[in-house]
Amino acid sequence: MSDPILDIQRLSVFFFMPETRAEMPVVRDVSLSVERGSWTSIVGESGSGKTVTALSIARLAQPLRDAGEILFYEKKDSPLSVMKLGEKELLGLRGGRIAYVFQDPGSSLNPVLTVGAQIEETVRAHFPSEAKAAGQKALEFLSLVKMSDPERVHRAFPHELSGGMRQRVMIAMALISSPSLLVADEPTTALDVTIEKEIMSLLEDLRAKKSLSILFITHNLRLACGFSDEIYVMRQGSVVEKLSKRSGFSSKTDYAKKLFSASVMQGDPKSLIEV
Amino acid sequence: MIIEVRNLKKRFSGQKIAAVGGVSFGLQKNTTLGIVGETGSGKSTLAKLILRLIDPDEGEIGFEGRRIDRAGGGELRRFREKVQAVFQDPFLSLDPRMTISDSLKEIFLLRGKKTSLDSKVENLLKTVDLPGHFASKYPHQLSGGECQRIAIARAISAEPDLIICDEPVSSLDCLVRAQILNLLLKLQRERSMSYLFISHDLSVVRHMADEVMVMKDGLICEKGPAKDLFLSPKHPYTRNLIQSFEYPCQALGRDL
Amino acid sequence: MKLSKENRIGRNLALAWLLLVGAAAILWPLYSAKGQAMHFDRVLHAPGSSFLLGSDALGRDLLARLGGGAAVSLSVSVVAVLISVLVGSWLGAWAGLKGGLWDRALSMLIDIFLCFPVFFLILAVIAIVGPGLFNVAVVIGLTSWMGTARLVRAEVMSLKSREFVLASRVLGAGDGWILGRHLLPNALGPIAVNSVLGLSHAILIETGLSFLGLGVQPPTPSWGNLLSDGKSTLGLAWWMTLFPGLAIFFTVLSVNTLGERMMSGLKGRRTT
Repeated sequence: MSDPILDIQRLSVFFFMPETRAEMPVVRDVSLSVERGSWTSIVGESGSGKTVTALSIARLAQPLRDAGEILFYEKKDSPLSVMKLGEKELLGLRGGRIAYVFQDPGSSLNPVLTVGAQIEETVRAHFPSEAKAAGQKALEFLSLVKMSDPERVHRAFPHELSGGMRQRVMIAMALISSPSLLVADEPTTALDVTIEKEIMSLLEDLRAKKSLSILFITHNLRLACGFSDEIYVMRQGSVVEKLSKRSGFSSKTDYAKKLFSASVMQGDPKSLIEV
Repeated sequence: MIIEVRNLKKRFSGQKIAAVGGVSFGLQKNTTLGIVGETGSGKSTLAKLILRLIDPDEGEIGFEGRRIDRAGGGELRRFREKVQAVFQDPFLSLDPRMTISDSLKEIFLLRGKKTSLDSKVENLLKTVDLPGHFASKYPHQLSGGECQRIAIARAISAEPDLIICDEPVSSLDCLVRAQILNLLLKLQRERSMSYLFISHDLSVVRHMADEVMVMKDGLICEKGPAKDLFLSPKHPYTRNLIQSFEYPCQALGRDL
Repeated sequence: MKLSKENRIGRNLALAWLLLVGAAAILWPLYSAKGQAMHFDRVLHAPGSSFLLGSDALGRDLLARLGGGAAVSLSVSVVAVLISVLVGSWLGAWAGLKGGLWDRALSMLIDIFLCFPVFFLILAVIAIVGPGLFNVAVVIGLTSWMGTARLVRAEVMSLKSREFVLASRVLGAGDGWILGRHLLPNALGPIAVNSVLGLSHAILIETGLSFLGLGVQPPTPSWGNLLSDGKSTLGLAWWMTLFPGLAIFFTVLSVNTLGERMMSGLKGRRTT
């Protein structure tokens, strides 16, 4: 039985293009859903609309206009219609029950505050009653994301940490409010492949540990295949195909087939790739 | 051997670990040597050293049997005529204030040739599968893939024996990436060129290279024929690298 | 560049004023006789029917002389700016490209020049070489190149490691080629803006020097020496101070307005 935590129905998002003085659809009639507790990925090239789709879930995109329905099933039988929420309710949703992790941790962290101070700030924002224990909670979350030396990281400034460690901090901060849905937009794209593997495994672990549902945005089809239960392939604003792990991610459409052969390059070395 | 490097070293001021700490290797003619490494491995510095964009502290670089690491003047000019480069960022690779035609004419003007430049430009565009009317466009009017084709055309215009490709497809989308790789392969076959192909992306290197070199912290961990290296890596770092790359496929339980 | 209504009005007014001043300057040879002609029967007349803006102590038409002042002030300033831009761009570009000792030498040179209060430096030099149109232009030019030099140096330093410059080197281009073909054209924008702002600086310096009697010498009119004439008759002939003062004020304001417009236009374009 289908038990989605997020159900996007016929979402369209329009932006204003100053060059043509007209509106341009960046997301066209997109429908997708994330099953509760699953790992769902959106894979697409640049311009596919995947990031705008992800941002629209918590109405972070600020478009000219949008249309469609976004249903957030935090509780199984009473969905929240995100499009109908007011600013105050949206604020409670963002960073709260729906958390985000973005590509560049460097720009999300304040360079003049220690990492510990920033985590504690988030703790106090979500749990004002536990303000005194904020420090302790910060360390707990740093251990949760498998930092080998939480105390040192707590005292450190963002520039003293590696890219991978900064991303772990961002994930820790995202989890403080115990979100039910984590939206990760290209979180490992800027990281070396060995670190990427660690972060992806961490997310996989946290999904099980914290009963998290994950919506993962990436341009890397190969990476998505390694962790997802379902993959939506997007192109120029629309969903081209939905691939599922159960069927071994077999693809029917031309575009998805080309994307596979270009991502994986399993042909003979130095042979021409089919695109 | 078209390139032979012996004990090449380069340390920038303030570095604890040298960018390139003593590297030796050779590149066979008409083959592709893939250089793989993560950030800080020194692969880009190595590319710049071989291109003589920066000077080494120690070591030798030999091109077609002649030493070029300290060469200047005429020797360097002859080297420049045979060795070209394609860089990572397609938009930054072209002068934003010059038309494509002007960018492609540069090599001919540098060599003092002033005749029939327009037809030469047209031929170059054809070689990289771009229409002739692109000559009058500016880089910001083109896509990343198209700019990279222009960069390749510019490299080809010098009719080099060796092209150093420093992350040439890392900034490109998946499908465009495949097209550019196909173009590079086609050109290599047609023109009998050697490639030094640098990338952090193992699947790209595995596809393009005959021999592979793995770099970490300025040194070579392992090198050998591509097939052998990927099937049975010896160095633990290489194994970790390949494992991190293959990991998603393993999780799926089949060879993707 | 979409400007708000106020901004557009400001820009148009600035342009209009500068065109007027420019026209007056170019046409000066045609009415210079009028500006030099002395009418001893109509000395120190207030603005009125015979003289639109009044006459000075020698009965000369102030309006005509203002036009002459425009010609002088503008030509001196333009020449000064040209010199400072040429010197500054050349020095800054080479220092930026070469780096190392060249760069340190230039930075030291810039610091030395900046140590002196520019005006007094100019006074000292004028005291040695003597006043006059040409001397003033050259001296102002040679003492205000530092801003352009710094700017061009910064531009060149940021551009020289861009891939298209590296590609040019790999094709075999030398420093001179790269500088002339790639680096300076890409640095033109900031240079242009700096030149426009340098113009108002030059106008003010020339005016100041002429006011002190060390710039353009009478009988050649300059806004500065017109002001100086006005100083001695301040109580009697207010027009002799007001109109040259206004001319200077509006011109500098217009030049600065246009300079700022150019700067924001430039910023807008570069953030694509």
